[in-house]
Amino acid sequence: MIGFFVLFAALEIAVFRNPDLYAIEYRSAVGQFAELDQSFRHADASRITTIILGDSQSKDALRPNLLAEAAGRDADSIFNFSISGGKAYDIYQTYLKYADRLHAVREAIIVVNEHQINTYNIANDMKFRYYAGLRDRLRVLDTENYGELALGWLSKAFDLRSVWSKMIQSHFKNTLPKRPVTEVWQPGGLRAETQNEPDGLTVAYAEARADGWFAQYNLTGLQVESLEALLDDLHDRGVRIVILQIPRSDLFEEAVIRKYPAEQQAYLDKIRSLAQQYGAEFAVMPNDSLSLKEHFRDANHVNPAGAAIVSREVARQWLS
Amino acid sequence: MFFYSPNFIVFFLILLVPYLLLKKQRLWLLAAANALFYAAHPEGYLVLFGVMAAVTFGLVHLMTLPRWRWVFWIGIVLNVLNLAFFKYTLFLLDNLKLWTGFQLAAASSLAESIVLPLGISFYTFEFISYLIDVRRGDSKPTRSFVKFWVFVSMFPHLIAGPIMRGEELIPQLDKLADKRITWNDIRYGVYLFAIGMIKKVIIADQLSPIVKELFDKGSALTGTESWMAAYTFSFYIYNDFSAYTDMAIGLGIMMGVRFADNFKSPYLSGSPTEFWRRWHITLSRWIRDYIYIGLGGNRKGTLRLYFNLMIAMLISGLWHGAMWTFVVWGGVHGLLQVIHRLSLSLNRWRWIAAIREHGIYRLIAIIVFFHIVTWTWVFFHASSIDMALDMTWKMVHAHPDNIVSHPLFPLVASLFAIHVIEFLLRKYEEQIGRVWRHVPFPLRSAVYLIVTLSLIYYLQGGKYEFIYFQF
Repeated sequence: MIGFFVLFAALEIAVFRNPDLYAIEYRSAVGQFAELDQSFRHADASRITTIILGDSQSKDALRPNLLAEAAGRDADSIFNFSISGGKAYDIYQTYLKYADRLHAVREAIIVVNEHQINTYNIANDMKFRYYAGLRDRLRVLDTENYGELALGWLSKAFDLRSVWSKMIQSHFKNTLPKRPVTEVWQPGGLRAETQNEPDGLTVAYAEARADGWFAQYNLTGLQVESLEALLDDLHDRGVRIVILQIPRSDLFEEAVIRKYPAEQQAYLDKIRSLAQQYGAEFAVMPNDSLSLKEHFRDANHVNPAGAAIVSREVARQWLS
Repeated sequence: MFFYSPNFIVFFLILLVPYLLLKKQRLWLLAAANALFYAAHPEGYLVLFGVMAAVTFGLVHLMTLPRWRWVFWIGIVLNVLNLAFFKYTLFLLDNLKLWTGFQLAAASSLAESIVLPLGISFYTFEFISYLIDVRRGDSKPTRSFVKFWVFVSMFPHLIAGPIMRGEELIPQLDKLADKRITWNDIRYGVYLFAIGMIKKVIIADQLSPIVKELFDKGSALTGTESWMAAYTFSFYIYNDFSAYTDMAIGLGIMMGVRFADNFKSPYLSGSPTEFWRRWHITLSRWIRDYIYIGLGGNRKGTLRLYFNLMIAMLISGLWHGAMWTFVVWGGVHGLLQVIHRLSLSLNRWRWIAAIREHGIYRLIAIIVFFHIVTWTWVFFHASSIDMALDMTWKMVHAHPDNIVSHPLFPLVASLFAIHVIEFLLRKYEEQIGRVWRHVPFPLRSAVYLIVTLSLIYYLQGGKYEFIYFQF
């Protein structure tokens, strides 16, 4: 038994708590952190003056090279920490991971949306589990999830089992990435998705997305508190903060207005009050200059053509 | 909070530490933990359970007084009515409507409101057996309600057995405060729990979607597919249910309590009588001791013996659920028992008796009877008798070549091989244990690690449940 515990502990440290394991499938929710890390390791942190924090929307839309070009800046001065499926907690934890090395940061663009601060189902989010220590786990603990969270804290093999078991399945199906993360990373943050989502430009897709975002909408708890903590940190560091809601398609906006107007209003009120509290500028960017078929790859993500427009606009208004 | 769910594992670890340290408080700890465990289930109607326990406990004591023996019948009727109300009301109403066209006004409202309380079939049988055992003088009634409560509610066996008797469990509870739980007990308990986890998570849960896909085909099933559906369900239900029992027994051992065995490799039975000594043993003996013997057993002539067997097996079928498929399943097993009893009369010819003693006969009997039992599961799991009969008809006409060449057949053969391995593992457990202890510890640790990681791999969350919880 003692031998088993020793072996298990060794495996935990060497394998399951090692980001390199998850880097094998860098497209997964947890694996993307390895790609982001790879990109950051190759950046000169002392030259980064602008950081972008957000989820897949800002990952796709705010490309450091495009922003730099439009703002007449060096591309090395902008780093996009946005992560796919990012929620406020993950975004804050990702920021904390690199904050100590970001001495030159002068401004932060925080891209927000309704989904990021919905606390519902946080305990089942692999990104939350990847980062969460005992304190954060205790804060979201309830009668349904205490076993998962407690055992998950003890063992990452257990906690992230859905991630590594899928990697094993992918290995046998030969669907793991062919090229390692060391070959695919790009400067300035994670690579943008460029492929169109199947049926992504349909009403049904937009509604399904909205339903997912607003499921059991809860603007209290760890997500909102994480956003607030992020703002607080940046504010204390004297960083200029811009909070943006970047453009989504009319298809998506209509679905939200049709089904979740009250929830959306609550979200806007919350963000406005937080922005005011921490001296941040808050803007909801219109989508006037974007057309569904030409500039979106799905209802709420822009394609490269859309990214060029959004990046240019952001650079013009906030990075000049 | 099912045994292999993370919530249960944390619950058990939290309980085990004070349980091992505070020996004198073990009974109270268990009493509280049982109530918590039961109440944590959405269908755990703790108040109903508590009331039935208190009433049965009170009646048992009352009936030991002179001139109050008759309250025994109140206890029996109350318990039977309680079970019947929750389990069979809708069945009765549906059949009343079907056979007479008469519909009670409240039928639809009842349909919506009656939920089967978790474990009611199991705890009711334990209440009844306790009442009967005390009346017969087989069991001395405990004076402690806490002890009685722990006996009926002890969480490892609460919701799917083994169905324990007072005389088996209460004496163990009497000694609980002084019981020394050794490191070996913990290790053996963990071993049994792990065996259960493997059977549940790696076998039963992986078979479940295959079984569902096949049975969902309904009338579109071919004869070969019907066999595959029956085979896979056979191993699914065995691995699911026996896994629960293994875990229950393992948990019991870790807490210094020994529960009765419930399974002994049932698919290695050569006859229906043997099958029921190996399958759900504690239910079989309950039916035997309180129904079959109660009806007179074999003491009232041959015809009455067969009648008693049929009644006992029909009740066993009905106990599993309020559906005619279960009744037919019980009836078929009753008939098989009758036929087997009849066939035993052939033993008067010595050469037949000699053949039956032979190893090859035994092997053939096991193979044949395994297929008969597999066929009976069709009635157990099919959505209707029509579907079961349709499958039966197709199974009769299926060609053996097609069965053997079906893509699922290697899986079925492997499952049978695993069943045999489990039998050997259990039979030679001590010898294997002695050899295992001589294996270098790094190798043993590596095997434990591989088993643990395999379980984690397959334990993907979502639904944690066992098929026998619905009974």
